[in-house]
Amino acid sequence: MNAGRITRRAAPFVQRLLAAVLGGYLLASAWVVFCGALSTPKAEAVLVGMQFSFAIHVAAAIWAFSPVALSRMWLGIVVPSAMLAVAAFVLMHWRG
Amino acid sequence: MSDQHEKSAKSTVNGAGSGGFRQAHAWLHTWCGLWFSWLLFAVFLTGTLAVFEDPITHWMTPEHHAEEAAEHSKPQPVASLSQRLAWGVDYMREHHLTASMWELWPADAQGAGELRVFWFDANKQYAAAQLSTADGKPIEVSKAPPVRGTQGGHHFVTFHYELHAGTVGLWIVGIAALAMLVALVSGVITHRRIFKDFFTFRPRKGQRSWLDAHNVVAVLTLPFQFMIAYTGLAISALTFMPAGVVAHYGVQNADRERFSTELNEPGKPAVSGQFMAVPELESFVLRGQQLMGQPVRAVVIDHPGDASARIGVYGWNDEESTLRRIGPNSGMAMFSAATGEVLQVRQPGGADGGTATLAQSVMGGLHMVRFGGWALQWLYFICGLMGAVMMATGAILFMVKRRHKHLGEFGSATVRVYRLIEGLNVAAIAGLTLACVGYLWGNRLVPLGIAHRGDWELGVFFALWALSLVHALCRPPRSAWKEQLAALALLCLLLPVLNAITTGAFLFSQMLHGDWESAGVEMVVVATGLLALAALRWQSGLAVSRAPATNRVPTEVNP
Repeated sequence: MNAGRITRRAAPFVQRLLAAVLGGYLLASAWVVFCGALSTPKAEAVLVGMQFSFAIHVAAAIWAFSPVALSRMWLGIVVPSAMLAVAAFVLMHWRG
Repeated sequence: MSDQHEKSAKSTVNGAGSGGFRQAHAWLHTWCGLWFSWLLFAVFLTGTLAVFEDPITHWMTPEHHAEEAAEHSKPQPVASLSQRLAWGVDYMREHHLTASMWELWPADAQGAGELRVFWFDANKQYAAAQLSTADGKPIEVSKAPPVRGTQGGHHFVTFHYELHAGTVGLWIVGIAALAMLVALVSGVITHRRIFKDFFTFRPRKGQRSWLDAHNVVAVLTLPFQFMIAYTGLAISALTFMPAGVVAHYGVQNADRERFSTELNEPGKPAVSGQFMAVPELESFVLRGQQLMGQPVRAVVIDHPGDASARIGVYGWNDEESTLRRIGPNSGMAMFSAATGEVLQVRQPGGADGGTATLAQSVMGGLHMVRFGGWALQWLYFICGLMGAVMMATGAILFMVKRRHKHLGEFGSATVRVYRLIEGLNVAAIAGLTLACVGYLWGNRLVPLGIAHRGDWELGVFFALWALSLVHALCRPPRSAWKEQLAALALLCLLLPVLNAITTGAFLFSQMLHGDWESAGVEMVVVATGLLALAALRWQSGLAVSRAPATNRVPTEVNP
């Protein structure tokens, strides 16, 4: 087994691992920021977000290792993260 | 967990996200479970012991037994509450006038006991003094370390959430807890016959029995396992998930303080700069006691000497209240010192702030089982052990499966990796249990009065664990299991003898004196020894009756 073959075989696995660990964490973080922007009082909303964030990270990790194509798997992590982040940004600036 | 398990675990990396939905998650369950099982077993076993932190500490400080007994009967010199409060304020005025916070602990719930004062010193550090209840003068509290310096049962508390490694350890345990949630969810997905398997146990069927045991303990205690892992994460949410606070408040310490002030004390007044003497406290305390319905435990004065000063009166939770309420907070009433107006009232079991804060405090209460008394502590103890058994059976099942048939997951390195996993299984399961009992041996054998004695006891714990790993990697797996189980049985069964020799207290005399905390610790240890012995005999029986022996290993993991 040469190095090239091992890398090729491991690449999808590494992608899924990255999506589960880093992608899941980013999604959960975006969720917490969004919660803080969405509702008042802000501190309470941030705390609620943190309390649910671990469930979101776990769901993302389960999704990352589900049998779907890699591209779709990434979309499932990146799109909701981006939407939450953009929504949080808009809300924060709209509210001032 | 199902037959698909076998096929889907074909390779460490190839199985990721392939096959059917259940197959893909069987793969995830196998590997996520395996790599975290050793650490999680350690977290669960020590976390389970942490439930009985106090009895273990009691056993580990035998010098205090007589003292504790005497304290209960000793009549206390009793000064009235108003006298105690006045002495506290006099002392603070005289010695710590400029402190930004004063805290008086005037008496115990019966109005007797010690009088203590606390404050923030010039470096914003918490400082303390004890005052005499006869004349209000400061008492020189002996700075000499206790005879038997020890962390006691608290070692298990600290280890189970940060491995004695501070923030780094906290993160490691946090990542493991998240991995555990992933393994639980993927385990449930894999498990198509969850209710049928609930009633299935096929003993003496080798691999099947291991699988059944793994399923039975996991399914039976599934809600507990989810709850304990999730609340464990939520308690340290501020460390693990800082993004919200960073985005909305900032990265500085002051920003975090602003967040927690907003969360817990929305109406905290700013310092006015106008001088105002601290008023006489008794009337505030009496009103506070009435508002929250509890005797006073502490009086906290923010910004003493300023016109913006606030006076917080905190209550004592009595035994009945901690039995019934999951929220661990006592009652509290907060007053403006200038106007006497009520700023905030917290009923016992409630929380400052809103629903999320209450949920946070209840999650902490759920995790640390400060409610429900002995019955619930034993329930947590048993469920925690079942969690540890779940990790152990899972890790052993992985290897039992592969002893007959190499699955070649690691290519040419498979044999070596299997060997490593076998060794880690022995050291993580038998070795850690051995180290926990060894810690109790260390408490009796490390010489009294040496410097950093508590650290030496920890040294015994870690040294035994490291030794067990070296031993497990040097010896063939079956011998390693047998020898470590034998050592475990020996240490457990001889602990009461060691205690009798070193302190003169026999197990039966402890029972006769009604010292059930000490007797309980020793009886659980002896029971563990007996189980280790039974496991050892069972394994030897297997080795004789079947050749070639399949090296089945008992999962006995009681502490």
